[in-house]
Amino acid sequence: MIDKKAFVLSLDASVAVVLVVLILAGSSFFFIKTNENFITNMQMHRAGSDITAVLDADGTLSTLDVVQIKSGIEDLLPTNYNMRMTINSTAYNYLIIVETESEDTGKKFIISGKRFFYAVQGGNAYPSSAKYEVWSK
Amino acid sequence: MKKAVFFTLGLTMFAFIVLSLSFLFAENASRYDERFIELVSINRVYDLDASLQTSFSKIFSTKSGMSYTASTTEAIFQHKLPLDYATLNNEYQKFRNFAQAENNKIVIDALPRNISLKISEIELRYWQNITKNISYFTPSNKNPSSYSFVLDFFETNISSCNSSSTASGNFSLSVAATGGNSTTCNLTLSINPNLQASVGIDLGSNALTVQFSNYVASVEAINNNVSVTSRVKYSANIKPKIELDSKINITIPYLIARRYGNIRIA
Repeated sequence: MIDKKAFVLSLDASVAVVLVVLILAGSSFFFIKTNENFITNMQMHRAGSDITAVLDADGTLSTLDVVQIKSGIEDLLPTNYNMRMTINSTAYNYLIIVETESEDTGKKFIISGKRFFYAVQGGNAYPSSAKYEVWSK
Repeated sequence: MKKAVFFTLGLTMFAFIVLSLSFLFAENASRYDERFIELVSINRVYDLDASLQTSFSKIFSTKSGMSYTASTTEAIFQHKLPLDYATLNNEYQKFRNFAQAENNKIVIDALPRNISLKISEIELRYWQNITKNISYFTPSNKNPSSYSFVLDFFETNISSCNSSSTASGNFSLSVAATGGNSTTCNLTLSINPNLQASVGIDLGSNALTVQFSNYVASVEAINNNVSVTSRVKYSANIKPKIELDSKINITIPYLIARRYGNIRIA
């Protein structure tokens, strides 16, 4: 009789522990999922927006020079992100594309935005826009 | 035996409480996604708007032939009469067309024929009537404490100048003009700001008049080549912000983000 009781108690405790562990594991999944995307995505968005604004303010975008713009992006972009900038300017009849890495973004989450700027070169000025895309490595 | 059942029940209850909390957090997470979309939309509209305003500000500073600065007590406008409206409008129109073609949710007003700049805090409107070659200063909220106009007629000689005011007061209206062959005209009037006053400058075949009435001042030129520096002083502190009275409207469809307002140029 005592043996049976002990067996039932052990079985009961084991089932309870397994149940609790399963529930806690499920819960932790939801807890972890809560914050990671929001913060990462906001950071990516701010990085893209701020870098484009800085390059506009310091006149780098206005040069429409791929090397200078790429160097500016690499100086400012956090190491765990990639960035592509597509510049459309009336100075040229083609798009200027500057990217930190020529990789297929696949199914990665991409943040994008746009700024307009007035590219002043010599005595001429050209309406232009810079579209940025940022994704994590 | 009873103890074991309570133990199991207690543990299970605790687990379910944790599970419910996690569901609440998951529900919150989906709200974070909505907040994220809203924040990004607002940021996108802000970026578009701020960059357009900066671009138009550059167009104004490089193509209008005007310069404008404002401090906490004074607004200064420098320009030539007549204003080169055609060059300014051409550049403005080029940028406007480009931005609207890039994004059909951006609508920018055409540059008005009579350009109007305002210091928003005090509602001082400076505007130019292109066809009549007149610059106006029209305060509508706070009145200025003085107007000062510095005029340069370059090679044209000043023949004479005169002033008229109906009553004296404590408002200062001053005109300092320089012409060819070192001819000058310097007049400072202490007038009653609610009444009329005027300064006339005779340039032989042409003339320039500074009119004042009830805090509204105007510079009316017939001469085609005069540089005008206008200073409007305030005794109260003003916010140094100058806007072009022309609007940008940006919307992101299906989302709440929208911006509609004047173009800030300084």
